Amino acid sequence: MNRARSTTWPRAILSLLLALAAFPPAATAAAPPFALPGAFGLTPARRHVVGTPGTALTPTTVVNTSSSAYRVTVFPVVLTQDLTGAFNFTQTPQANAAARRVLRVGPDQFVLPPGGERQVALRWNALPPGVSSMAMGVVFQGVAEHQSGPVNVVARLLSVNFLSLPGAIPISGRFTRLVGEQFGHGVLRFLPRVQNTGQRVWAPTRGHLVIRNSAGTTVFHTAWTGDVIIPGAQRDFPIDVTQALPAGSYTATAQMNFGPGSIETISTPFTLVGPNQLPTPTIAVHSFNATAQLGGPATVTGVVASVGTAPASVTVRLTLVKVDPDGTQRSLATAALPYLNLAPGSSRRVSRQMGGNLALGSYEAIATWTAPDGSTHTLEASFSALAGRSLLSQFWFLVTKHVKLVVALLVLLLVAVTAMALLLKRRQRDLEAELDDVIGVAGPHRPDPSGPPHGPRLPRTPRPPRGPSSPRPTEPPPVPAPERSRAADRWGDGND
Amino acid sequence: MLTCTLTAGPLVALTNFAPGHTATGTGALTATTLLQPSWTLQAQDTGSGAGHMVAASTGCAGSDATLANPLQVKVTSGLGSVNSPGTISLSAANQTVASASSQILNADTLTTAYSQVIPANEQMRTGCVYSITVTYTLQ
Repeated sequence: MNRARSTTWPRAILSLLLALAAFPPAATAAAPPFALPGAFGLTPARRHVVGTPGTALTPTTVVNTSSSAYRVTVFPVVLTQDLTGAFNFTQTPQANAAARRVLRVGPDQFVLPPGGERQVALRWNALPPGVSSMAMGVVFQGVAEHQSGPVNVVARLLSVNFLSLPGAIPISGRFTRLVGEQFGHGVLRFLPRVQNTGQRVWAPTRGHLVIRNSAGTTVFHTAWTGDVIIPGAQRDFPIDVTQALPAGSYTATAQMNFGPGSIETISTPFTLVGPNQLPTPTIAVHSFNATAQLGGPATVTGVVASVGTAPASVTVRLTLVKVDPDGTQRSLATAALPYLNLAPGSSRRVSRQMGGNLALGSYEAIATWTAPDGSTHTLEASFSALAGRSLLSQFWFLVTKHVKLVVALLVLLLVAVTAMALLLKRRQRDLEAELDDVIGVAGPHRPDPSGPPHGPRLPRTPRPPRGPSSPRPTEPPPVPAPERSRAADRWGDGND
Repeated sequence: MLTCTLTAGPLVALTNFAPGHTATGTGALTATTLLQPSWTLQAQDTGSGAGHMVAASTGCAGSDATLANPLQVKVTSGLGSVNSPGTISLSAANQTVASASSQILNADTLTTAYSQVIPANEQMRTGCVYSITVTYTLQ
């Protein structure tokens, strides 16, 4: 039978687990592991095992010090790890079967009464071909009996087991990136990302972060603590900087040891636009609107603005939906409008025609976009497809829309007409004066009683001059006319 | 000795559980992670509702089988080094609701806040009971 040898990280835990491995399971069970009242718990929660398949691991002790009985289910899982370091697992039948091939547990179901304690045996059966190290979890699921509320709770405790074959297993790791981000007002967060490129579960040690200004002077220095990374996984180690750094250009450098004699370094430049203030891309969308005419497409408009302190990119997704009378919505058209590297303070006008042949009814245009900080935003514009306007209604629409301009134009027109009338009247007087002058130069005249009272006055044929020797033409002496009215003298009395 | 415990507090009741309202309730978890300052608490719904409250199999004729909106969960702690991502919408996937990189828990209490938004047009007959099971995983 193979003998399991536990090695753990960090060293304190290593020593502890080595001591655990040296004791028989009965010793673990003999000592009460918990002094906590009202708890569903287990021990140990983590194992580092170096050995070969076919090994019985130290049993897990499960206890219930609460006043309720617990229905306990135990099952193994294959662990993965996310960037935060949290372990995850899937529970598909295939994944469950793969986990059971590596690790067997028993018993896998039992009821733990109040104050009860039970040991669960674990047996390492195998490793997949070509694999020398593996992270396995064992889930201990406890359900307190007699839960009948609207929100019931199941407690799961995940025991983590790092299984490795003996011998020299390659240990290596590297930085895959180092980024800085704004973490609240006045706080910078740097995230060195570390990948375990070896075949053994390991953790970075002697982590440091140094920030130098543009002159190369160290302005900030701190240590950071690593934690386990399973082979192939990547993990971020957040480092918060609250020390105020003035605006300027800097370089951040992260360093670590990953495995014996391995020193890894990564650097990244960054710029502050204010004290501990990174350039931040921010996008705003405003003036979002949509209109449509019957039988035509919808016209969706808006403005995409870069309102941050760094160039921003965003893709605005437009959706045109028909809103039925019962409230249901049907998507009619979609569009994706990308805007790349919008300079701070700049904006772009959106105008997009969507759909077509819209019928009478209610519609909504929906704009969604993911901001540079990862938040999702939505704007909606409700509208109806309207009948097209006649020429008269379009004219009236323009008039009502530009009332001030129309009034100003009317006033100008009135002034111009008045001025023109005055000019014409003055010209007429001038002409009449000239005509009178011409007539005056030609000789005195009597108004022609038969002429129109206000018609043009034609020059008369001048009379021949009367000489003294010339006999007066014989003509009857004038007969005294009877007294007549002045009007009759001018126009006649109509009885002639 | 590495020790890990997780215990739910008293039953959680949701008040204001009616269409057009947001039902809320508060619970508690007591957790221990001795010798393990780096830990993560996740939440998921392993039931059929995938994060949505499910109507009971009897007495719910005419009611919606599941509520339209998922249950919202937020876990907080008075301990300064505990990180909370804020409110999550419960789903079938495990989601982190609290974590720490340098905070040992020793029978410390984590407060769980639940909220359920119920639209006005939700079909819920009188007497129909809705429930959900939240599975918390401590590692």
